[in-house]
Amino acid sequence: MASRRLFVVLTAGLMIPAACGGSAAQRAALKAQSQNVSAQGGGGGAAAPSGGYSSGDSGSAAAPSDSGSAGVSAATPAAGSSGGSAGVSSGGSGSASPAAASASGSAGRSNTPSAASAAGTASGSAGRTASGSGSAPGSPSAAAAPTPGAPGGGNAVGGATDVGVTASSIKVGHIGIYSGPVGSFGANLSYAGRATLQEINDNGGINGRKLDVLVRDDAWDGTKGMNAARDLVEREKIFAFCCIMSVNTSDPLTPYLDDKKIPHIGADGWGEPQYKGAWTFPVSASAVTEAHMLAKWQAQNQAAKRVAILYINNPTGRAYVKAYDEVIKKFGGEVVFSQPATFDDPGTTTFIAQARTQNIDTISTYLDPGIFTRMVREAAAQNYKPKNAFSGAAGLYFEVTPNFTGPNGEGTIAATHWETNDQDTPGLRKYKATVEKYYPKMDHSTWTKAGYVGATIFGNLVKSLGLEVTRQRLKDAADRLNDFDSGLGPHLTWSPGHHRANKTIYLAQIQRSGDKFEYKKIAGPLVDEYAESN
Amino acid sequence: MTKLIQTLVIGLEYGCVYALIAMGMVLVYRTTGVLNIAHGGVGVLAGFVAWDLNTLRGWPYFPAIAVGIGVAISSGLLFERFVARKVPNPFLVTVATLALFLLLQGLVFVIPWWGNTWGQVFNSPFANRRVAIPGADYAVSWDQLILFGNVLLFFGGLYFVLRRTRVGLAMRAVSDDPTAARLMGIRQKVVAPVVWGLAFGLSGLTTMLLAPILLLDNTSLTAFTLKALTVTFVGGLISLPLTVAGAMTLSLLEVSTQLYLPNARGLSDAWPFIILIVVLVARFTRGTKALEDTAVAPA
Repeated sequence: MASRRLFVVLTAGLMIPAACGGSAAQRAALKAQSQNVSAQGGGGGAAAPSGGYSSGDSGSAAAPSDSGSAGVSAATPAAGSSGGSAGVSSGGSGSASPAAASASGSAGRSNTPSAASAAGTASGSAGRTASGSGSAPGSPSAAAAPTPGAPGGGNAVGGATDVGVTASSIKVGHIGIYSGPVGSFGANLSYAGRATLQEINDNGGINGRKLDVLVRDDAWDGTKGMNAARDLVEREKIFAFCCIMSVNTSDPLTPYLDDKKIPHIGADGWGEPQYKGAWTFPVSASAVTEAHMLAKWQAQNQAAKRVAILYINNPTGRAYVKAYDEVIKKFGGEVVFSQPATFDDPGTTTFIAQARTQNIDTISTYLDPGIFTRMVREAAAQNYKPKNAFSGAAGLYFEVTPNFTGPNGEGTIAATHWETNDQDTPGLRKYKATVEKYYPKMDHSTWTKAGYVGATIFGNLVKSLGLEVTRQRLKDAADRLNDFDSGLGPHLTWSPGHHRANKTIYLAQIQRSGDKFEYKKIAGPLVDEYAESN
Repeated sequence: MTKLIQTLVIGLEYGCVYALIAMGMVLVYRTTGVLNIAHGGVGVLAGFVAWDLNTLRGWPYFPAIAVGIGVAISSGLLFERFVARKVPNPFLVTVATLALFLLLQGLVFVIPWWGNTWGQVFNSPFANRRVAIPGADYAVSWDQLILFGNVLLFFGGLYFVLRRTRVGLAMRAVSDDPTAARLMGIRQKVVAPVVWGLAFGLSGLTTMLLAPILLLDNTSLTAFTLKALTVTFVGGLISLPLTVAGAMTLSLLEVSTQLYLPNARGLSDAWPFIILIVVLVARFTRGTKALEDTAVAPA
């Protein structure tokens, strides 16, 4: 009897956070997604614009309605239907898909295929009509050419052309950071890419197929991430990965995808191993590039000579320290000491004490915003701030960071890979409109923009393939991406063996604005001349 | 000399964090035989309640943290009434505390205005006040001094209650032999709620003391639980003095490694595991077959 009661308690303890977890923004977005899918399921006017997903502003499809959750509760894709509407729907609403059942924690709020519908059929027709035009901005120049010998072409063109592809859907794998030490802000990084993919679906899908996005949580843990990736590849049979913004997963995933020959379009690119993969296509810059540009800029503009670095002790963090040291030495400076940090350290005061003792003029960091904020506050408690204040990798560039660090954080310089949030450009406006449509409380960061760009490119590339969607053709199309302009700054080009598309850094500084603090752009675009050529 | 003083002072600071969490775990284990893994989760719930009242609703600081601690105590009473009392096996209750921990962590995200960012600043009225340490080129904040004072207070208070009062004697008796304790007229239904309420209240208080120094979020405050667990094993899960000594030893090893051996990357993180292995080997070498065997030893 006691065991049964305990089982009930344990089950409740594990299920309630999974079922209820998530921020308000997430729930609002999931609700919006549910409504969108419902609208499609009910034939609610989901006529696809002829330009497909790429013309986000013209998306008249899937007006939110209060038509209930019929669309969400539909369990499986209708493989035999023509032009179904498998959507980025919410598994948290009682999905019956195996994906949702296997996901843990927040990952359970992922997605399931949704119902085929008459609207989907209509959108499929519209999409097919448009498929050959290749008119989307940034489409690869010759991507529409079919590749002989492409795998999985046993069925009729437009049907199950490869693993994870049916006549009505394309299974896309996505791994986000929904729990763990950086889960509280990591989720946003995933939402941006998912919002962009959802918009593609809401605009009719791609050439008659809807994207069936399967989401998993890695808790910023490469081991969990790889387990999730294997599950998506080997059990769920996904077609490709899209826009994983978790370096701890993207790095070890790269050789695995080369082995399996599965494309990953829009990887985060923070770790160097991703640039060695033939099937991985990063969109953001690496931590090494951030370190290069920060070191150079701080040496030239702030006369940085004696630098201390606090970093998260992972391969990317260690690469950041090495890269910063290499460049600062070219300008007569040095990294006097560096110290690893972990999430279960009760403080960073040993680092602060050493920095003060060793007369450091610049503190640079490769940290998450939580540890960084703690360090700045502890430095304030010591009444300490180095001459050039603090700087750091893109992990610092979140909109809420300045208000948490307080006055002692003023002057902090953060690297980011895209145009900064304080600018007002058409590209930024379009990006914000897309992601905030589904996640109104998005904390715009380097990685939310990268997710948006990665998902946009993914959509464009798949669209350029026409009806014959295969992994090999998608990889070939990605390798021909030429001068893609997302509107957020750097133009991206990939070619075989050269996937380092983004070597651009912008610098933003925490400055006082009235009684608040916020990031303001101070430099950029800066192109990394020290980066490897791959 | 400066570095040595810094090592001692910072080691004391970190040690207080571990000690406070570990003492709460020892209290529960010693009186119920349950390893309370929910310690951090209860603290997060209490912390967010207090932060909500103080920061969002304008309550004064002390009433807000009092309510937060009250919520933690209430959680302990509810947990005892509806879980611990109905699950007689301490091991199974330990597993239930793990479930509670996950539940409370997730609960923070359910309240939209709590979990919409990665952390919250929860300053005490003593923020920006500090005391310079002579000869150390270092200052200690008032918040850290208050934390230190509370560690001393609770160490002395728990030690006294458990050893010198009838309530403490009843707690230990119920833990050692529930049947004999009942025969002696000790009402377990009265003692157990006191233990769980006190333990959960201590979790809440710990968060109130740490949040001004660190940040209030649902992960970092719970991350120390693993290190605190190591420390509790130093004390055999029952001895408060050894637990506090273990906390200080661990923190001093970590701090001295960071300050004197900055290139020994990873060693600082390895200390909890090294200590745990050494303690377990030493206990087994001494002939103690299980930690439970020492549960009847005096504090």
